[in-house]
Amino acid sequence: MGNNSDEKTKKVIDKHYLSGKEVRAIAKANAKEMRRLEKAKNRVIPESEYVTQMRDENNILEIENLHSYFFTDQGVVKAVNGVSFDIPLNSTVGVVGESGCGKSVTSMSVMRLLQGPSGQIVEGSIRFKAYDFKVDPNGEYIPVYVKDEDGNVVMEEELNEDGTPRLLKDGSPVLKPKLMRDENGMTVYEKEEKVFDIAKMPIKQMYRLRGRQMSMVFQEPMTSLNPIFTIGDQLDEVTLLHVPGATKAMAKEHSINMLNLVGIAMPERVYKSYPHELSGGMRQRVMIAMALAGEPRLIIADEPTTALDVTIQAQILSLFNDLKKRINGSILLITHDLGVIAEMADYVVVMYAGRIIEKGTASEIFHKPCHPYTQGLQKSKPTMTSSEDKLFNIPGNVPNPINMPDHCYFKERCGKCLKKCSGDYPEMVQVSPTHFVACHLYAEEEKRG
Amino acid sequence: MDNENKNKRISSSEEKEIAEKEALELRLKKESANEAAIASGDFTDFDDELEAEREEALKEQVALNDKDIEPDKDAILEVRHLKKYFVLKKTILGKPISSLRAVDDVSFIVKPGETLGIVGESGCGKTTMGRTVLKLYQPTSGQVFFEGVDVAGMKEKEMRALRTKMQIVFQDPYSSLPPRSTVGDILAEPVKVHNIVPKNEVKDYVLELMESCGLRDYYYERYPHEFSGGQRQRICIARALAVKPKFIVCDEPVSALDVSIQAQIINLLKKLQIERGLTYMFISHDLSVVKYISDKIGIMYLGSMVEFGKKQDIFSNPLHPYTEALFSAVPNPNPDEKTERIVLTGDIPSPANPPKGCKFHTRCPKCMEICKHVAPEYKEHEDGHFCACHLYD
Amino acid sequence: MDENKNYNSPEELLDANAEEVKEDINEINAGVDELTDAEKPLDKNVRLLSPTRMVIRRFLRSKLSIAGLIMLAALFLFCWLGPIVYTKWDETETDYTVNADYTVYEITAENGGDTVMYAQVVVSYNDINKLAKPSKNHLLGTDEQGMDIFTRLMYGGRLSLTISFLAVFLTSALGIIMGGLAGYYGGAVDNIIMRICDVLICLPTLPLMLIIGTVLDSNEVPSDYYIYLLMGLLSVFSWPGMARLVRGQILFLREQEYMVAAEAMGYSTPRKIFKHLIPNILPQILVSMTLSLGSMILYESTLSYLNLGVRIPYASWGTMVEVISKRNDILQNNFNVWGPPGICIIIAVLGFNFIGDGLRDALDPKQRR
Repeated sequence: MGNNSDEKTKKVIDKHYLSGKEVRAIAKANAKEMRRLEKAKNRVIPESEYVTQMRDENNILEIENLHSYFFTDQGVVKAVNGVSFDIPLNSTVGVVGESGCGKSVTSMSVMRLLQGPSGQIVEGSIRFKAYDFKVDPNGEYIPVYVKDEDGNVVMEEELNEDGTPRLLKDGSPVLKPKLMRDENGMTVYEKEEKVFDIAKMPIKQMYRLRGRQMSMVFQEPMTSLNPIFTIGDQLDEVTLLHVPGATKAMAKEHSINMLNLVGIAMPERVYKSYPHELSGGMRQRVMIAMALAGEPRLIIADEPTTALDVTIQAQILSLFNDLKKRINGSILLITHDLGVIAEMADYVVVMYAGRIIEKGTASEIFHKPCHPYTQGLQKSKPTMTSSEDKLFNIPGNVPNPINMPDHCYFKERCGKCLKKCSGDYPEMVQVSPTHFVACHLYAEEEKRG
Repeated sequence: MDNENKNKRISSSEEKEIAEKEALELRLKKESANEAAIASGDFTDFDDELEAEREEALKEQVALNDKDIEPDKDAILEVRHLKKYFVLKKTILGKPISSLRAVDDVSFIVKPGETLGIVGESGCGKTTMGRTVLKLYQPTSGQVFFEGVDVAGMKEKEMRALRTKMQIVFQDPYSSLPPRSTVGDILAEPVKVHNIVPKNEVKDYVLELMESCGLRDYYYERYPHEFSGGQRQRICIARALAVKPKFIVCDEPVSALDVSIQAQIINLLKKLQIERGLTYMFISHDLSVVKYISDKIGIMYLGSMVEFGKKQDIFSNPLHPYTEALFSAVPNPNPDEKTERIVLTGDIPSPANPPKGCKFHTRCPKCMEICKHVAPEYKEHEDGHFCACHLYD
Repeated sequence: MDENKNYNSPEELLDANAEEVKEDINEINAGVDELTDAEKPLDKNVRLLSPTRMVIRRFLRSKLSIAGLIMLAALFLFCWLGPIVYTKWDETETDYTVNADYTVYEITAENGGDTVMYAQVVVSYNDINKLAKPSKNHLLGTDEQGMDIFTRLMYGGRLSLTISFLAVFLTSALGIIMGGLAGYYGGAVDNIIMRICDVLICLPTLPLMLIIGTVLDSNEVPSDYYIYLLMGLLSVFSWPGMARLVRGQILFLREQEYMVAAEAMGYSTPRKIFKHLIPNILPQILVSMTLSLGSMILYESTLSYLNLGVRIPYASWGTMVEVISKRNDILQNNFNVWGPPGICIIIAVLGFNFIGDGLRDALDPKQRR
């Protein structure tokens, strides 16, 4: 290697870095945009501005044209760039993709957990069908009373602290309307359904949804529990926070029920132990119990089994499958493992570089994958049953979504490029009632057909 | 006064002798009771402590007997009764009280050009074994023959020269590259240190190496943090290859990577193996990957090898219940094909305090009474297919 | 590739597709082993910040570190360039400009029954111009000895800063060597060094310095070297902090996989320590050094204030403040004597701390942004 080539590499590298001028320009633009979005996030607006209607009543969550960006020194990372999908009631939707495809950012956007000021939802709407407690004019929740067949409120005797009936001066017992209680002994309050647009909701209002109506199971069970509190403390907290009027005893009973539900053999003992005393699989069960404790309508599971061993993963998967039947809610499952998706999901969304490239039912995606990326992804995982000599691999790397081109993002790695692929980004094409794909291979055919 | 004391001392020493005798008798009795229990299958009065001691002594005896056997001439690597204990607690004088048996009496042979896959869950000692074989950890006991030379007993200086022949690729491509050196420096340093090529050819050699690992020449001046996981892993592989090794321990090289990148790295490893005649020890928790790349497979559980054999044998005829459970735990990527799965109950026990008897008995779906008390012998069942399980006694 | 094929419906296409996938796999596989140029175009879209620029950006992100930088730059310019530009007075030059002062005394005397009043004028000539108020002649006035405060401020800064730098370098050198040995070798070496650290940390530094100062005094050590000796001793007492930092870092880095890789490469121990470990802890050392510069300046001032450090006629910021410990009237009336050096000390300490904090954020490799 002579000097000549050294200089050449040097030049390539200099070009590879941003110049000072560019860096300053990016920083300036970012600062402006971040200030604007941060302001929007924290302003106080009336509820009517973020209460909307669902497009389809059978959905629990509708994400439409979501854009979540990160404003970094290198430029704007369009981590989620126009994502739309629905989560129907009582179903499991799996989001698959490689690291950096924006699947986690999508889930974080739904929870509004993006780290500001650099991470922001820039555009789009996330409609979530939630219930809300009705309030009387004083701002108090209205409890539901037990009624007899005629519709009259049932009265019951009020008790003293020692359990004896409280008596008036003339000896007759004090009566009060009987409160409706659920199986855990919690008071039931009157609720109404409301559809919130999470993307427009002020961040301070999110407490109404988080934990109570949507909750999250994280990837790393080792770090997602607070090490200085017992499992019981942490589980009770969820109940105490989200169920109005819950007492400590009720919360404990509820927590132990939850631990039972997630298949923990000795719930009383686990209730009293600290996180470090439990194994990874147990902690993940506790995390799931915590997510379930508020009886949410939507559980977001972000790579729930990635950090676990195969045999433990099998346990957690069968637990999830079991829970699916028993809880009254939907699951948004995020994972990179196609096997896990196949085991769990009813609907599958495949993401690549911040966009959805294919979505459909699980069996459609697995038996008739349309997008070359989905096909490649399936082929590149060695399976227990296959016995090929050579493993298929998709060339190249997952792109870093900064300054993405206008054409299909997968073009550079795709083995089936058409001339058209250098053109605009492909539209979503419907190949069956439930199956959509964003690829020019199909767009052309549809028009002809 | 003095006399009294003396008498006392004598009597106490006599008492001691008697007590010792009694203890020995009791021990012998118990030993014979144990043997009888094993024979009859009735374990009600079984002494587990004693059995554990007996097994330990037996293992040591076998290791001692095997010590002077000539190493296999065809093998590139032969591991014999390898043990690596980590001391957890010490007395003030440094005597170990309790230890973690990360690798507990493991033996196997690897032939040149082969790939040995080691599968196991976290805490099974597979990583420790990989590092102990390379003498990155000093083995507690046992022998490791690399090309017929016992590495375990080698001094550090001698070892340094041998390091060029055996290399390692790590799991985490982020922490395994020094953050403040350029790719060129990282790759050129071992070449310079070990004088692999003359000084003026180093750069050419490195660039050639980079190309064969799928790295562009203009990466030479870049820093590791500028690369994605897959490219970093390529750099790691290139670094391992820089010293022209014959044997590479791949410690979960694809676990931290994306699926499409995993396939690239696996294909790269395969390609390099053919081009350079490498021998791999491929450690992974992912059975499907191991199945794809390996010729022989060893399954580890809590520091012991529970099954070892040719890939075809292990996959067509898994002997150990743990192997079967592992196979069935791999998620099936076909959503319509819901297979019955063996779900192991419970968690992996701590290797610091493994269960008595067979280490797997706490989770084994086919557990028998003997499994809870007596450790099964690791022996050959078919040609080259080893297994440690009471089911096949 | 597929342009020429015609499909009638999407379903047909799908089936055709499934077959094609297999064919394509082989085709693509053929191209995989060679360097694929496919990644290039997208690769080019993303340009990163060069390592230096990234550090600078992170450093400048905080307003405080910019403030610190400006403060210190001004201070250094003032101390080192100042005396070259402003040459009116020298460091130890006393202002002998005579200025007369007269007092009128009234004297009454009896002269034969008459009371006669005299006026006696006593003219006193001050030989030195001491405690002068700020004027054109003396920008910040003069001190007790009639020396120009502005000039002494500049020379004093030189001395204070130099001494602190020397002390910090000595401390760090000791700390890196001891901490490095303890961290790398571990075991008994580690134990011994860390116990020495513990003992040193237990010792009360300031009283010890006072005692040593007295001992030095009684042995008539020339006062020029005095402060250097004391600061040297101070370093001997304060290296444990640095040693602990270095040891902790080395213990952490030793477990990093790239150090295991270095071991697997068969590198010699000195190479591992000096080429792989030390460069990776340099940033932390740098941060710690910057932060301790501030405290060293304070130490120097304290020692000088206690009359153990630099002695008059030589100037240091601490010495200049020292006068107020003896002269209450100066504390009350002559702010220009002790105020400026005090402010300089504050600026220097704050500046070093701001920069230290900024550097810590900038050099932290865990910060990905």
